[in-house]
Amino acid sequence: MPLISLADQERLRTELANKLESPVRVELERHARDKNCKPCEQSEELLQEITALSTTLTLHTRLTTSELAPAIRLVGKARGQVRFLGVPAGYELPSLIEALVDVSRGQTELSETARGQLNALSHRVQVRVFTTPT
Amino acid sequence: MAHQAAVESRQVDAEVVEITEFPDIARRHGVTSVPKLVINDSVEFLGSLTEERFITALTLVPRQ
Repeated sequence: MPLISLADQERLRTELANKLESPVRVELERHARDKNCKPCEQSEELLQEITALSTTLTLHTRLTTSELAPAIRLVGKARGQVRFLGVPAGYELPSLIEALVDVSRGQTELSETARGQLNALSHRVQVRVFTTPT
Repeated sequence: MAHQAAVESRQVDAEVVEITEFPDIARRHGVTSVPKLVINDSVEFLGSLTEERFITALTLVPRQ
């Protein structure tokens, strides 16, 4: 049974075909020590379904000894780092899709003023957003 | 918006944290409701922010 319904997969396939511009590498880190990590398993299954919808997306999975797993990193045209800790299910799935599109395009819907201020940042900034899937 | 800032700026690391899977991190930041935004472990916001308020917070936050 797929995590994303077949109808939603088709909608997503069309959306990704219309919006993705350049390749995105989706990197998943799974627990090396906990072979029964259910969130790791769910994340991998979800990402396999998503990346199968577009040849522009590739999934790369590796094991980590870090406790911060599952961790998903999106690598493409983003200038900074974009990561998701935990399964991006439920309400977080649209956020993941939006992030994939923006990383693929290397640009966002932020205003010109905002983009100018971000380009002028002179020090590192870590932004953590805490969420739940429901 | 956090990921958008990271797409636009090499200085920004954006991380979305699912609190039921990472309760220790959530507890460390006193997360009792979501969404909650924490910038450089020092500035916190509860709920959604306007773009203007978010970007201002990023530019004014103390260095880590």
